[in-house]
Amino acid sequence: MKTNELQITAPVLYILLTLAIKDRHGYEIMKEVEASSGGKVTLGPGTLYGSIKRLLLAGYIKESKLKPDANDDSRRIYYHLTKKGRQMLGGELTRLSRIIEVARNESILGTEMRLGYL
Amino acid sequence: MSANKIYNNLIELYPSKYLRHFRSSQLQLFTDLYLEELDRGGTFWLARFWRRILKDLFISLPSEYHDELRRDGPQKILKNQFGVDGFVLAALILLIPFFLMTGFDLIFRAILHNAAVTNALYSSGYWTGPVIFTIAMGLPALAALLGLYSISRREEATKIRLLSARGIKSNLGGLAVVAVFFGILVLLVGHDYFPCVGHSLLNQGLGNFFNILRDCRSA
Repeated sequence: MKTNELQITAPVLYILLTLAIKDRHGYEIMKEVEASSGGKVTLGPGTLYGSIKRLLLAGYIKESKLKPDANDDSRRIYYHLTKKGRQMLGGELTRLSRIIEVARNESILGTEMRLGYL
Repeated sequence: MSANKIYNNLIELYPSKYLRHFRSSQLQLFTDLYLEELDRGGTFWLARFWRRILKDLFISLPSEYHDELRRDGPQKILKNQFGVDGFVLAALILLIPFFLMTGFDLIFRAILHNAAVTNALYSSGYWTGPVIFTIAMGLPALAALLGLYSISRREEATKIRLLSARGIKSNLGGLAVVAVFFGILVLLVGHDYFPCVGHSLLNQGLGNFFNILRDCRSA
């Protein structure tokens, strides 16, 4: 798969974000994505490993040889954010923060909140 | 059947290439989630859990097949995953005459209340009945043999149980052809419920066979 074919969807972004903090296995990624999105993004086994497959193919993540928790089940596979993945995540977050900045400057962001006070 | 076994069979629906890499991880994740739901207890949580799992399956399956189609193309997927090879395709071609004939008869039966095609063919000569009957039954039988051969030559047939979800999936082409053959047999044997096909093929075909035999003996 060509790397430019990978769609940066919300689940993909959250997965990259959780792996930017530390290497994690599937279950841990799923729980962390759910927690950091405030329950807005929920992944099932199929959608999670589908996204992981695409990220592996794009070279944004790789399987980690080191297991952070030595007591953990040996069959668990940990995933590690690659340099390329970190660069892509940085670029994507910068792009999003610019959008948010424009929205804030144009007083679009938080409109509902202000209306709520009226 | 335990939840793990059910899920193990369900994930057979994913493309084989995907499963080669992620089967154990996905099963492990399912087990983790299932144990978590069991800890919560109650039928409500389990029902909610299975709804989530099935929803996940319906979302991720098309996406995985779309990926495989884009990468490998439909022919490779049909061959590698469902065992649809040249033998199965040849078997399907052999089945076409039977279905054309019965198909036309069904249409004529509906319009004219008469199995027009086979009636016309059978009544056209002394030997035509048995010949058509032999072709009509011989071609599906040959197709079934090709289907069985296709199954026997696949590596998966020896490595995995044929009547498991995995076995059925990877030999779907051959098994479908064999199932069609048995379907035809059931259809013909139970012709009281399907008079058009049954009467025209069995009665006329076999009837003529016996007539010819009787004539030969008396001659």
